[in-house]
Amino acid sequence: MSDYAAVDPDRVAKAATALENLRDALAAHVPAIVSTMNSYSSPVSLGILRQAQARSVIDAADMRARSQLAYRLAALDSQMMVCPPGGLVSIPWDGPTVDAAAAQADAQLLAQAESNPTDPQSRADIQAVTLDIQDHLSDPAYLTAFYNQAAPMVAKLAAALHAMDAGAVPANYNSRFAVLTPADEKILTTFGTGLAAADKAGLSPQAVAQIVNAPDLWSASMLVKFGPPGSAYATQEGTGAQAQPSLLAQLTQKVFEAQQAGKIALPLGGWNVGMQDRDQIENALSAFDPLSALLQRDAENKAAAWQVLGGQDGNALANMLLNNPYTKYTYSNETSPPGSGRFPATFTGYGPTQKLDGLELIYMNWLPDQTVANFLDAATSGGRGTGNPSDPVNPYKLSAQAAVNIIENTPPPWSDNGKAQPSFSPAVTHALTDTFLRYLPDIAASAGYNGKDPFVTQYAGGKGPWTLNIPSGQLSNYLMQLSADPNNYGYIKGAVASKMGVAFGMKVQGITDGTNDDPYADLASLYGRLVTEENNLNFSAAQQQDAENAELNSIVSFGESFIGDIPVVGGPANQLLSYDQRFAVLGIPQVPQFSTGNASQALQAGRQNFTDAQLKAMIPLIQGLAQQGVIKPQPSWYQNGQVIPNNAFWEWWRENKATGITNKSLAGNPTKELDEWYQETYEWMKLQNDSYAKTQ
Amino acid sequence: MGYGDLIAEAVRDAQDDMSQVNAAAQAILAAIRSAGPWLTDQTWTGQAADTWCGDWNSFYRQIQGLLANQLPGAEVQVVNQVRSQMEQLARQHPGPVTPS
Repeated sequence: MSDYAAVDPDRVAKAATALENLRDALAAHVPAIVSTMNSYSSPVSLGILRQAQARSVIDAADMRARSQLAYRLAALDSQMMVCPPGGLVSIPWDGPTVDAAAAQADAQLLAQAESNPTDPQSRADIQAVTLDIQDHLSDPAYLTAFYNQAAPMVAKLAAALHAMDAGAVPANYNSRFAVLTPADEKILTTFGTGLAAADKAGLSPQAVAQIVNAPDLWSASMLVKFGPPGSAYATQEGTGAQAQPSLLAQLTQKVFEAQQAGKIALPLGGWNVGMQDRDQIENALSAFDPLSALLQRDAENKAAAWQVLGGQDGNALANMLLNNPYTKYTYSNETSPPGSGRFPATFTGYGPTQKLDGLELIYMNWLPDQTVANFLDAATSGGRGTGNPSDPVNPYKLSAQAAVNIIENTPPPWSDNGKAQPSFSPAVTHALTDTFLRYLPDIAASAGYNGKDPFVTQYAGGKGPWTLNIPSGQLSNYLMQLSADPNNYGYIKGAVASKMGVAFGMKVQGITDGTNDDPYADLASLYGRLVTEENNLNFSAAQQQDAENAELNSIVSFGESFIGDIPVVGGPANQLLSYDQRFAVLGIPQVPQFSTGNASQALQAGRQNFTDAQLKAMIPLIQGLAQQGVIKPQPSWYQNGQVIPNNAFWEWWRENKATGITNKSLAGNPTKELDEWYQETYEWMKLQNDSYAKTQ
Repeated sequence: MGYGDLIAEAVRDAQDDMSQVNAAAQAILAAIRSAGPWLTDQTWTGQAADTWCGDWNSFYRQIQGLLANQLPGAEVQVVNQVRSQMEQLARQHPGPVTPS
């Protein structure tokens, strides 16, 4: 228990100012005195001046903290905290206790201000608390103490600020559309920054619950909207078996649920609206929409994204984001009672399934496309791994579940005159493609899964990494959507072919099991399925050529990009890779850029001697064998992990296609000629059906 | 230039430096004196505050003693030391000073 002192707030403030002046005087003059005297071999010791300089910083800060606390307590209408005689205020004296008491006083002051919104002093009190938070942004002890005590008041701060100014009777037409003033937003930025820092330092579970279960979720969300990037927040609450999703994720989930249930109230309104107001209303609704702000912060946090999309509402949210690309949800400020002309002070957000009675004015709200893309992309970026089985927020499991939800809810592409057209912007398509690449081995294996429901499970009976399984029939929409753009179609086919080559090299080296578990066969089959999908896409000749070029470019480019990630295996003793390693090799969360230089030139050369279809099977196989050291490639046709299908390669192939390649994944290590492996792969990839089976 | 000029110049430089040191010390002393009136039992009452205040006064009394008493003596000592060192130099190297 700290010793208390009864202080005169005004005199303590003057003492603080005097000590700050002394601090500044010492900082300005001590270095000069010491330096000058020492240059003359000072006959007196000046060490104590350095001590004074250091001490003065602490003295001044402590006295200022006491002063602020004394004023804060004096401002509070609490007889318990004020010493009656002479207006003296009782404060703790020691530094850390002063901070804790200041946090408590700030919490009380905020509560008092919010409960008296019409009192002009309330605004000044909120400003004072804002300054105190600003002063303590690098002081986790103060921040956690403040937010642990003030969480309910912090959560309703945006609503309180709105009620104090922008929500007051509109002075003119334009001010009707102001939900928060720039000054309000600045205050919320400080409170949001403090909240993020306190969250990272460790908020109490009660404080987290008070924010995510706030009665006014719009208000709580504005802290996040105007606060710092999502990376400033914690990635989870608590640790070990007690861990919970992050504050960001929990709040997003609650906002989504409330919005679906028609319980989000955005305080814009209270006055008659007409058709002429539509643009301004829609702009304001969009600017202060809580869900879009949260999704953006979740994407920046990453963990929050996979906790939300892999969590209990993940499937419903994915459905909203992907199955309804344009109108995500609506806002209305229905008159009450209908037709009365009396408009409520808020607009209510409704989910797509909400039944409205048709009398209300409807305003569309669509989430920014880049926000949706960033969120989807982050949601499957948890990586491949096993994690701790008892971890309630296992990133690998949640990320895989998020991928399942994305794949399950991706609609088929639009059809325009029988031709498939992408339903999404390039940004969203990119996010869907990233998910495809990250979970490529799973998707390939899913092609043979004929169950009813998708699920995530741990590989190898609960010992290995988290994987996903999608019923084969449910993959079609997703694959067609990815394939609707010719360039993307070629790109993902190139990725599959390249990974197939990697899997092939691992198979013949005995790294993968050739019987129960054959990613090589799975990937070759997935490739074949993509070839089949082409029939449904009805590409024009030009589009087919684009897809063809993109695929061959990416086959060559992927070889180079993946080379650093391939485990080069030595003797049999170290051939056993962990499951995580194997899946990391086959599903790498990196999207290489299209090659436009060397790969293109190489392909021009290759097309002189091989058909495109031949190259699609041959290049990945040779790359896979070269990466594993099964064959020794020649520098004349193999550079930086890339097979260059030039004349030298053609010569090498002619001379070596009868070379025996031993399959160490099977008992007895059977051997097949290189050309036999190639022919088998060609068939699995259904390249005989490829429109480019003939030389172009 | 003779030794007399050199000695005078070195002493003048030292005096200028010591003058600046003195001005800096006076500025600090003024700031300490300005703080004093606010750090009294008119501002607070309580054991912790009194203890802190006693400690602060004790510490800054040492600083005041250094800046107001010891430092001026040291400044004079520095100037004298520069003068005597230069004079000793002149005695060790009689004759005209060659410009460098």
